Amino acid sequence: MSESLPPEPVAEEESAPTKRSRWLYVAIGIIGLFVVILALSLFRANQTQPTSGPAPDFELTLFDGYQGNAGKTPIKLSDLKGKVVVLNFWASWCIPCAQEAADLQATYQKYKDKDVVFLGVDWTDIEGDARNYLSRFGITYANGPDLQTKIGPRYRITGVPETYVIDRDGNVQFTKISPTTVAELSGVLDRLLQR
Amino acid sequence: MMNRTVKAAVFVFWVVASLLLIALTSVALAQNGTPPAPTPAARPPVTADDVNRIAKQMYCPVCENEPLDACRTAACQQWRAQIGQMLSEGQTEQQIKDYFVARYGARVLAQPPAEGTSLWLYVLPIVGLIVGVIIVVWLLRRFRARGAEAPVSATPAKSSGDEYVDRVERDLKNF
Repeated sequence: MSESLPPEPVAEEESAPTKRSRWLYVAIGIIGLFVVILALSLFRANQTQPTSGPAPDFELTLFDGYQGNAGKTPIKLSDLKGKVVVLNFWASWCIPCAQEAADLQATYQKYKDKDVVFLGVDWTDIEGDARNYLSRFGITYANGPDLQTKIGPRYRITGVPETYVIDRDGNVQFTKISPTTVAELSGVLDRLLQR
Repeated sequence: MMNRTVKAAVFVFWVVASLLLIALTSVALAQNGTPPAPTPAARPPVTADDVNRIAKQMYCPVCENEPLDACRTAACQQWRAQIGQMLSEGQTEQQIKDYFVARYGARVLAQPPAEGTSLWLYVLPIVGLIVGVIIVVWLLRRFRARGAEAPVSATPAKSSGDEYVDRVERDLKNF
């Protein structure tokens, strides 16, 4: 009668292929994470100025004496729902901005009593130079500095001047990445005011 | 008699001369005799080097990746002029930097402060380094342990023909 041996204890260690496949998953996960981060960065880098859809909200603290028809300072874009907003980014050192300054002021004079609010955002500028610019062109509509450079990046501006027209519901309806004119702005504003 | 007259004349001369000297001295003192009121030490003129010493620690958002002292855009020229103006007003380097950060954000600094979201810039590399060292040490230990195990498993034990003896031999080896 042969003596039967007790069964040999089964090794609790995982088999090599299982371990290897686990590490493979971890490596794939880490690489995948980097790919996702890279893709998001590329996506963000390639994003351009908004041409439609909801306009990014912001708060603008206005220069003393430059409240225009905004009503108060600081003013939030979302406070202006129900009105058409002309948002213009500019700077005193910007030569093309000087080309459109008179046109913007003339358009403001034409529409300031028709539920249209003009907001000038002074981008990366020195306050003294900005005030000289406003006074040189006789600008009276609401203007303020882009404090902490927060508003420009929200609109992903690539320079100045840039002009956006936002409808009564807060959606971007017009984007201009170069100087605008009275005729051009009037056409957009007339269309939006008729709605 | 004559001698007394001469003496008197000499005396009068000296008295008049002394009085005249005192009077002239008084007038001179009255005009500019009082020492000038202390004025603040005149500041040395601000040089381009003074401006650039601060400007090279800053970046203007208009020309990204180019320090303010090297950027030739009109915006950066204005910023440098502002730094010069503030230096001439006696403001310190820190006050000037604080002004620009308050106005344009921490992104204008070449070396952002270690606070808020910028803190990650300082923390992440350290965390990454620590995690990397841990992984490398762990892998090295793992490879070393495998290397030590390899000879045992590489040479299969010869069978004695008896299963029980084989198992004892195996257990002894692994003991």
